[in-house]
Amino acid sequence: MIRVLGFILILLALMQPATAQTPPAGFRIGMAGLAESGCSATPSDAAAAAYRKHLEGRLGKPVVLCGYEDSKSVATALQDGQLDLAVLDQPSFKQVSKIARPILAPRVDAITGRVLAVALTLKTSGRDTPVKLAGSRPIFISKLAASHQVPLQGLADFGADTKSFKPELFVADEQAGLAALRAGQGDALIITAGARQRLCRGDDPKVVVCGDVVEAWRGRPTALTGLVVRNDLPEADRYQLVGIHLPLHQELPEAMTFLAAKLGSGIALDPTEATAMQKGAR
Amino acid sequence: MHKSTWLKSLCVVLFLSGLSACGSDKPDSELTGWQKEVGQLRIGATAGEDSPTTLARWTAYQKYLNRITGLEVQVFQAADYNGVIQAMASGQLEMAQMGPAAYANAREQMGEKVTPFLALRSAEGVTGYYSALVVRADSPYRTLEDLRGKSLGYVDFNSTSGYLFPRWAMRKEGHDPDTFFGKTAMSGGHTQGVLALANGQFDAVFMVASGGTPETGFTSGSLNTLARRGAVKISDYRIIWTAGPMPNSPYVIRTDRPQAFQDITRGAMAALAYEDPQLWVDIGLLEGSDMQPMTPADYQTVVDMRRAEIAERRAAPAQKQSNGSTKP
Repeated sequence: MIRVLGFILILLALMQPATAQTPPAGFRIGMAGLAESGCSATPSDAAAAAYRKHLEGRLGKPVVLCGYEDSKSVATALQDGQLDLAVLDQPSFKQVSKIARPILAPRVDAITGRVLAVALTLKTSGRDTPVKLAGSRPIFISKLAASHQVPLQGLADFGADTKSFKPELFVADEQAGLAALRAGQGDALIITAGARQRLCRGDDPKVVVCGDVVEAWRGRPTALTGLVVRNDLPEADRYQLVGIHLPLHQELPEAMTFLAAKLGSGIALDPTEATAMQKGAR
Repeated sequence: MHKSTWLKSLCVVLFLSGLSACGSDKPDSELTGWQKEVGQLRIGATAGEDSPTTLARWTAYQKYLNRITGLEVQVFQAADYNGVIQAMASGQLEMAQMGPAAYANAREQMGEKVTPFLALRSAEGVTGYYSALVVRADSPYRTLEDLRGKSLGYVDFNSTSGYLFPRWAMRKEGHDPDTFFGKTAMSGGHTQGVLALANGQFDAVFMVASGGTPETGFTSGSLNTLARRGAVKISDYRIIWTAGPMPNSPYVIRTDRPQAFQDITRGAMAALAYEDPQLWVDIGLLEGSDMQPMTPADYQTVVDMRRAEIAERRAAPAQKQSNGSTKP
């Protein structure tokens, strides 16, 4: 009987998925979609191997890549303390949002990151939250993604019903946008935070430019994927990871291409705030 | 010059309570690993352009980097570009912010021991700035040609927008900057240049202009900064010619410091825009902007430009001096 039980226990142990295996010591990076499951210091994929070696050289300690069936399994492993860095998508991140945070997210192209943007409305309009922008006519100053699609996505992530928006008004610049807002040609001037600063600070300290407007929203769009670490990772280690990955596209393009494939897109990586993967969180 | 002399000349102003005196190089005995190897983080900044902003910026970074690296962080502000370059070259600084031309100078002196590692990028992804030729609005000058034989204020030999780039651009347009103007001199800084123009010391000055393009107009730079402080009125001046864009000023770091130190510093500085956007604005950086990684290749054009400038100056100094220009 004891022999049978022992046999069953061994069989059960052998049947455990990769997520439940204890990865080897060293720095452990987990992601879905690797050629091999489990943790390895010798991944067969050349780009994966180059990335691992690069990290090992920069961190000065052994690094293993750990493959999982899906993003949810990666999140579970991170939660269980089996990983130090994880590639996660936004739905899987929810599982670990209490104990982990993103540190880097993919940048779409050279001029388009997760742009910080604002929606300005007239104080008298009462439209002072994203939800209250429903049915508004938005004013934009450019059709470039950084000034148009990205802020729109951010607004939607913060609860604005952007589908209810009336046809968009495009104007030449932020000054024309403010004039259009004041003239009632639109209900919300949606611009980057940089444009808002240029518009509202003016060039004369005695003149208040934006006294009649309010920020109904300020934020960045949610990062749909990201590199995630546990909150208990020491601060210096966290910034070291950011510092290593930030120039990855310059120092080791094939590694960036490899990571981009796991992240879904991206030409480079940008740092993120801790709440970047939580919809509507500041 | 002896190392400590450079430090003394640099060590102008910045220190927070709790930090040791400028010039101290005594490592903390409790440090280990890469921290012990570095000992302390000494940062160089130039006070040339808008020193209150620069000061606030580096004071904030000082606290922030101290918390993250565990290192004593000291900031040294030099009166001119060369002070930072020489301190960097002599190993008295780990890191600095300098203009592209100043970096080009440092690179020529230090080779691969110095590298640009970060630079600012606007919310819209813009990564460059301009040199503007500015005159008083009540002057008759409307074009570059109008300034032939007139007096001009450069900023500094190591200034990109205030010297190197506009001279290169003028040559490209077929003008020899050494003979074109009647008299030239260095104002010593962008702010000083604007004030000298206001006081009638020059007919025109070169200065930095950013936050826009010649087509859209500029919202940042020397004139805008001074106007916001109430020191000048924008409408009293006119931009009549521009050159650019040139790559944004790099943050540079010594590559002979431990790699972990370089990576942590880069990561911490780049993350600030996202993790503490209010502090980012408080230290004088544009809202929504962030930092992008830079490499020597991004500034190679400026290095080449500087070499060409030096070669040009060496080529025919006597001939040009006879035309009455004040020689660099």
